[in-house]
Parts: sequence; structure tokens; C-alpha cells
Amino acid sequence: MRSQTWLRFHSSLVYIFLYAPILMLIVLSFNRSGLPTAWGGFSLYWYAELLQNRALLNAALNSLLVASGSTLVSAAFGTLLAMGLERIARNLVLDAFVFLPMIIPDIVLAIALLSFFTFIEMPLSLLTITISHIVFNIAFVAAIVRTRLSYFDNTLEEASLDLGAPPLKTFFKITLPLILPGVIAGSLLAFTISLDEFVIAFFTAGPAQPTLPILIYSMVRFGVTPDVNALATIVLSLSALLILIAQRFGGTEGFF
Amino acid sequence: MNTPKLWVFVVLLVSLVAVACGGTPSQPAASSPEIPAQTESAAPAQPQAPARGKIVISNWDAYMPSDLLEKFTAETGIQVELALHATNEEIVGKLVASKGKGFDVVFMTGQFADAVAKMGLLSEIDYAKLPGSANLFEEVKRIPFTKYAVPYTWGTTGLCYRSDLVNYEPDSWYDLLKPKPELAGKITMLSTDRWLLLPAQKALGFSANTTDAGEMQQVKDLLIEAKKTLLAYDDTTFYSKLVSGEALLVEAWDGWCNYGIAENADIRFVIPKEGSDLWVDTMVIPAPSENKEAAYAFIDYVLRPEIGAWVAENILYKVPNRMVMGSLSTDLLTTFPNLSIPPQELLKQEALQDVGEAQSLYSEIVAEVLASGQ
Repeated sequence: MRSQTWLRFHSSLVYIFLYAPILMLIVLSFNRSGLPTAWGGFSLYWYAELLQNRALLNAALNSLLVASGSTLVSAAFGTLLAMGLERIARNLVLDAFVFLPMIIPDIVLAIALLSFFTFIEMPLSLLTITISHIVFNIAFVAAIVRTRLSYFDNTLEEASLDLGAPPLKTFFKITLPLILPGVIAGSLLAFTISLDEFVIAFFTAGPAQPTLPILIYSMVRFGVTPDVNALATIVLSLSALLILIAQRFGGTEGFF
Repeated sequence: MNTPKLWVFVVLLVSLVAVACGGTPSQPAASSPEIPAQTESAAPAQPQAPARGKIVISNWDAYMPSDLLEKFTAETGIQVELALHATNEEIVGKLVASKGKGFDVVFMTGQFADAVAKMGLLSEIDYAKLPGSANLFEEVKRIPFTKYAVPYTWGTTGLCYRSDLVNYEPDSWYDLLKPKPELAGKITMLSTDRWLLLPAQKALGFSANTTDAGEMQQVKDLLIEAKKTLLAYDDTTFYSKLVSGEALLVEAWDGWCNYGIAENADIRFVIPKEGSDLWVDTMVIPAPSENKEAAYAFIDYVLRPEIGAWVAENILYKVPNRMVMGSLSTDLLTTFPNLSIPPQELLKQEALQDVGEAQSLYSEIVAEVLASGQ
């Protein structure tokens, strides 16, 4: 009983540590004065300002496009890759190569990608950012799906095939539903990483279409406006909603 | 239980295929206009007006009037795409990795332009193509890197302090590095490498561009000692710390000290008696730019006095343009006295230049200073 009280105390400390800065940001987004140091009264002023700030909204939209595009593609390829690695090519070297994009420092990958795009003379745009994000997102999805696959009961698939289901039907009816939580968890991770990734996006971005992190960093020198807080609050609420939906969707078994 | 899950996955898969299909054809579509554009510029005798077409520029956000691009396009017919960068290091990294391709005009600080020019990535500026440059102060054109970089703004670095809370007038870098006891822990210094090193370099009487390892050793020792009385290394919020009183004396760029003065009139700026740096923000044209005529047209537009006046009034930076500095209101100059530091005075300070090979020594020392005492 006593150890439980301590555990509870400890976990609330951890939650405060994790969420106090975020709470601060949410509170500041409602601060009329806009200064982090002075409270000017509750107001939705910065939300109204945000609606006028086309550049910021466009950047947010660009980020969402890149994040969803790269997530969808890497969810499919990452899952297939994980299955291939687990079933066909159980090979240490291949394994290591898959995880390389996760481990390489961002800046190295960013410069490599930009050099590559320059070499093949591909014009930089949102597409090049999306492709670059797919590069490392595939690795994250594959890593998570593999953990799910590693305790996959192969007899279920065998039974399905024995009973006459064609391989594709077996995949959709048996395999996929069983590894789906892994796929979704991987996709969520990929989405969040892509949404706030800065270095690689900066290097592979074309002009005129900055993602949200690129725009916000470039504002630091002359023009950070408090409507950034408002936008961050909205993005945060959306992400929280997304995670809640995903958890519901995963049912009681949980994902992680 | 299985059916809804499967359903959602099918939707996911279909949208995925849609994205994949949408992605592939758009790739040649995006690159195909690029190919005729290249052949066009390869053929010199095109009957097209020279100052037409499209240019790509990169700048910090909000470092020029928000309607500048629109007005420029309306006047010249040249389309402009704006990319944004947050630091000199980033944009230099991007230029080096792409071998200078992709941009026609880039805003960056002088010593970085100097370094990029040494790599052969910048095209030399033909000032004859910039009628507006006649208004630039002669002094600024004497800085060597202006051969490759057109000055946009300039200024120096000094001490910015709360005259109401500091009961004497600081005038030396030692006021920052070896502060009086009442100021200990109420001091910030800039964290970007060159400006982090500057106070110690100048206090010890060295050049701000020194490449001497022995001198840099002394600089390092002094900075590590100074760290004990430091509140923070701070590049972006030091003036807010002055306004709130959390800091009383900070190392600051002149223009940024003005941001503090705008909120508290008791804040003062002084160039230390040991001397300081001269920094210049510039515009450069990367060598591979395919529309240099339009790039010159753009730079010339930015050199117009009304743009410079906007910069002085809104960014609170000095502009090396005599038409601008003569036109500023006395109100502005009284509120922000450092705006009227004359060019002769600025030129007494030492222009920051690329230090070449010694840059790795600089980075090493900065890293050691930042890591010390932890």
C-alpha cells in the first residue's frame, strides 16, 4: 500500500515534468499581452491573429501534407519490409542497413539527400521533403512492425492457407489484422516525427513552401509572434485527438 | 471486430496508392518546365526581355518589408520565390551541399559570404549594374568581401545595460568579463561563435579575426573564467532579460539593444573602449544562378532608400546608405541613439572576416567554453 502511494507520487511528478512546459504554452496562447513575462488577461486575440497569418497557416498545411504523405507511403513499405526481413531474409547485415536511416545523424542524411537531389537535378519542393521523410520513416515503421511480427503465431496463417484461402486473402484476413496495432503505432510515430522534423526538411525544401518548423525557426531572428503559441495549441489538440482515436481503435489490447 | 479494422486498412491502402500514383506523375511534371528553362538560358540570343523570369531568394523571416516582393514583381514583372533560413550556418550548409544551385539572391552575414566566396560558389558583384549602390557609404565598400556581397545592413556589437540599475557607466569588455560583484550573475553573452569570442579577443587586445593559437588559448582561459559570473549565453532573448531586470548588462548587437530600448528607455548601448567588431549583413548572388540580370534588378530594388528606411525604422538596424541615414526622423534617432553612430566610427571597428582554417580552432574553443564548469 505504501509503495503504491510512492509510485503515485512519483508518476505525478513525471507527468508534471512532461506536461508543465506544454501547459505553459497553452496558457500563453490565451494571454492578451503576448509577452511571456506579463499576463494581460484571457483573450482569443492570438487565435484571431493566427487566422490572418496566411504564411503560418500555409506552413502548417505544408507540414500536414508532408507528414501524411510520408506516413502513408512508409506505413505500406515499412510493413512489407518488416515482413520480408522477418520471413525471407533473416540476415544480420540487411537488418543493420534497415535501421541505419534511424541512426545516421539528421544533418548527414540531410546533406546526402540534398546532394542526391542536386545530382539527379530534381527540383526541390514538398515532394522532395516527403521523399526524404519516407527514407527514415520506413525504418521506424519497419522496426515497430517487426516487434509485432516476432511473436506472430505462424500456425494461424498456415491454417488459413490449409482451409483454402488464397495468400492475398490470408494476408488481409489473418496477417494484417494481427499486426495492425504495430502498423498503426509505427504510422503514428512516423507522423509525429515527420511533423516536427527540421534539419532534413530545411535542406530538401524548395523555396516558397516552408514547413512549419522551417518557418518558425526563421522567425526567431526578427519576427516571432505569439500566434505561434495559438497554432501550437491547435496542433497539440489535434495530435492528442489523433492518439485518442488510435487508442480507441486499437481496442483493449493496446498498441505499445 | 475484424471487419472494421480491415475496412480502415483498405481505405489506408487505397489512399496510399492514390498518393503513390499522384506522386509519380507529378515528378516529371514538376521537372519538365525546368528543362526548357535550362535550354532557354543556354541559348543566349533569346528575344526575351533580360530582366524577366523568376528568381529564388532566401532571407530571414521578416527581415524585409512584407510587401516588397509583391511591389517588386508589379514593377519589373520578375516573379520571386522566397525561401527562409534561420541561421547563416544553415543557408551556407545548404548552398555548399547544392553547390550554390537553386538560389539567385541570398541574404547572409559578411564573414559567411566571405567563406562561401572562397569556395568559388559566389559570383563577383558588378557594381555598374547596381545604380542604387552609388548611395552606399564609401567606407563600407572598402571591406574586402563586398566584392562578392552587397551590403544590406551593418552595425557593431557592444554592451547593452540598464542605466537605472547599474550605478556606473560600463565602457570596457572587462565590465562584462570581470564584472563588479553587484553585477555577477546578471550578465549574458552572445552564444554564436564569433560573438562569443569577441569580448575576450578585444579585451586582450587581439584581432577579432586572429588565427594565432596562443592568443586563442588566452581567449579561452578568460572566457572560462568569465563564465562563473554569467547568467547565460543568449542570442535571442537577452533584451527581454534586460527589460525584466533578470540581466543588467549584456553583450548585444546594436540593433538588438534597440529592441530592449523600445520597451525600456533606461537601457543604454555603448561600444567598449577596447574596440569591437563591424558586422555587415549582405546580399550575394550564387555563381550557378541562371537569372543574374533579374538578381541584380532585385538587389538594386532593395538598395532603394525607402527599403533602407523601412529597415532602419522597423528592424532598428543601421543601413550603410547615406540617403537613408540622412532621412531618418529625429524622434527615431533620439529614442535609439546607436542608430546615429556615424560610418567613420563604425569603420574604426574591425570587420569580421572568414578565418579560414582557424574556424575549426574557433569551434573547438567555443565548444570547450560552453562545456566548461558543468
